[in-house]
Amino acid sequence: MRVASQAVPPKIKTGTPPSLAIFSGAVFGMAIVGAGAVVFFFNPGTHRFYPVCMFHQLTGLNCPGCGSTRALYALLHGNLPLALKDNSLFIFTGAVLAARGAWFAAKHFLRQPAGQFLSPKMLWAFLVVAGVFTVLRNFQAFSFLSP
Amino acid sequence: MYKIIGHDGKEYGPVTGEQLRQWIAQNRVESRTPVFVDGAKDWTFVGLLPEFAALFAGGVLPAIAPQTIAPPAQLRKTNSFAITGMVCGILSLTLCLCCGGIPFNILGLIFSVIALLQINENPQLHEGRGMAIAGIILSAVSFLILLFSMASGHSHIIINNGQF
Repeated sequence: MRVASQAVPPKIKTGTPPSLAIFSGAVFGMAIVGAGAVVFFFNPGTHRFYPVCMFHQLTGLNCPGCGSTRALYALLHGNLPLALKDNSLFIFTGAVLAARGAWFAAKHFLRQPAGQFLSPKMLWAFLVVAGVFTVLRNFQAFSFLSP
Repeated sequence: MYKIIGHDGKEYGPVTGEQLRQWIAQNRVESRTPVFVDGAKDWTFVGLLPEFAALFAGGVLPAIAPQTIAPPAQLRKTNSFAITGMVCGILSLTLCLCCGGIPFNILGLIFSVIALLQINENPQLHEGRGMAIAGIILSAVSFLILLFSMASGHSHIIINNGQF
């Protein structure tokens, strides 16, 4: 009992169109390069135009992001130990995201499905790590975690 | 006989189950496609029908429909707004150096609320309620820090003494 002259629904396209992905990637990349250039040429330890952490001002404690700009400055000038001391969470996250980006690029190049860039498990794990990191870096015994 | 709503929003059918199976095989119909079964009260989703559920589980369709109505894993997708909301919430707290996390806590609240609304509307289709709630909490905490620091006279505009 096949119905004659049946209208057929269109095929389902998956994923974002490549032009949008490339465009947003380009904008994001340029923003990162621009911010990196500013931090590279203006030492955050001596220049005063950088915004101050409100949490640090309010409480005197280090927030999970405190020291990120100094860490980036140290990293861009090749001082990895200082960068890790300034904000190891920032450096670690940057390394993980860079590795994941490279893995995604390789998958895209090989035309294999790659799935989500950020999975819920990764987000929850990051939240836990960031929380522990924030608590630890404010103790004297773990002062190597704070800038 | 089944009626479905295609990815273009138009209604197709009524067609036989065999035809619908072909459409699934040709990627014209997915587990989240709305379907109306003859004699049913309301629309449902193809992935929720036991006679098609196995097609989305990656296996061969058995001759006899399975008795379970548990939705297959592919039917539930992680809500993108929930992920974006939680990312914004995390950014608003970790990047609080910049204007008290201003763009991110607002975005985090908006995205997480949208995510919760979408999840509540169709709970079978969306995952990520926990992430949406986390996004709201993180953004709210960021807002609280911002409010406290404004109330206590601190603001990011005052001179940076190298502490950030």
